[in-house]
Amino acid sequence: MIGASKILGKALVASPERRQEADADFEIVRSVQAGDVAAFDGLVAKYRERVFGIVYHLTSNREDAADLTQDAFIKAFQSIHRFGGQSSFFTWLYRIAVNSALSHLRKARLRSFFSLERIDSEEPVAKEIIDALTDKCGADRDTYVHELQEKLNDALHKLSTKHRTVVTLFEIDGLSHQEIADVMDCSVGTVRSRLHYAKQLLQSELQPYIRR
Amino acid sequence: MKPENKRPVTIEDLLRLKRTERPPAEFWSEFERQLRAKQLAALVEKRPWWQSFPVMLSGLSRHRVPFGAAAAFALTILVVREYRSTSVPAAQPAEAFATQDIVLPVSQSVAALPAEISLGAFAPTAVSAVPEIQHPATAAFVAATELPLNPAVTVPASISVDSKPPASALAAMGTVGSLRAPSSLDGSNFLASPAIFDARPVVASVPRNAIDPLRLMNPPGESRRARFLTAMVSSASVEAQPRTSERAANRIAEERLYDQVSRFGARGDRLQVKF
Repeated sequence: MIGASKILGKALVASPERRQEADADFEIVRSVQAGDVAAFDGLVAKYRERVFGIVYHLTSNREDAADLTQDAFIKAFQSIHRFGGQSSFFTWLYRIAVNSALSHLRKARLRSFFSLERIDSEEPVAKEIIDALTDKCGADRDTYVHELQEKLNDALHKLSTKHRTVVTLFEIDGLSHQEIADVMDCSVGTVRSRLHYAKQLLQSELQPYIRR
Repeated sequence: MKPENKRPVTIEDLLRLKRTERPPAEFWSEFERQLRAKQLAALVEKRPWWQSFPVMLSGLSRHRVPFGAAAAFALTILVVREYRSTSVPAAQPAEAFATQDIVLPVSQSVAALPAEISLGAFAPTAVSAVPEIQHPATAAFVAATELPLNPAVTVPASISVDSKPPASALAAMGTVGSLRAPSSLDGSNFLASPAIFDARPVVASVPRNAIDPLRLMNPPGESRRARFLTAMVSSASVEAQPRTSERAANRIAEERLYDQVSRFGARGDRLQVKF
């Protein structure tokens, strides 16, 4: 039996933690392939929030994101026997989810509407940034945060889907350039160039909110 | 705290705010329930037969090397056999000759032609000597089409099958396609006549090695000379270009000069300027 690490040697997993994670995922995948269907629930529980996050940030719609995330898991489950460990399970699942989301965006280009989640302004990272942006408090603060959220969303939706995907995967989900290249099936150079262009455009759109 | 003392906010910070957009906890329980239902539906749902192809092919992928080798071997054998069969021409059987010209269409239009038109002129190859053709199908066909032809008209004695025109010639006359009544001769009679084979033009088989291969080769001196000539011609054409353009420029200048001269005219006490 070929070890999972050996198979995943080809997969471009950045850190040792990620490699360990990929090995653990591959073991679960093998047990699912062997017939243990319940083992797939572990993978769902592990990745549902991240997959939902990427799809939600691409579509900006909670209901669509939920449907697409579920579809991505179903597709992964249906074709798990085809997964041979050429990449990590996480990359494979992300690819399925991103492709589903992009396909959905292409179809629903003209009838897209947004239903945004609330920004948790009490979370330390969010609180620090909002504090730096405004002195307001109470209802005024909430209004300001909501306005900022809408502006941010509008700016992201002015980008093309490819640029938005790269920005979302890098800045929001924290994937490396190489991982994004694997997910999007393009070169690292393309990822960098898209990221640079997207950030320039976002910077010009969100100029009033940037404090130097 | 004054805004001046606050830390700078970058585009990355703003994007980081998006990370905090999270659905409430109850959303996940609903999500879980929906996913479970979809998963069960996917398990129960009968998949179309064509979706099992990738699975079968993935099973075969283990044996791709032996399959590929066997396919390559079979292909090689086929190609070699094909090459051999084409390089050695097979002898044509006698039946092939016999069946080639058995069906001899005799058209009424031919019968309607004047007797002085001898179709023998069209046919360089004589087939056999059949005295007259008066086919019942021909008459029936003419009666059915109600053409103003006399069914009793027969092919004159001078027109016989041995003077059968080639199909291309009849097609050129434009009547064969519309009024053809095929009349076949008995194959055994046809074969019985030795004249068929006597009259058939024999294609002389020319051996392949009749052409001297050395004649096909150019002597090296000639090719060298050709190269030099090509180089000379190309360099001459390059040189000729500026000269041509110079000449063209001169011609333009001359034309302009003539034009200017023709615009100004002095006649008697008048000065004429044309615009």
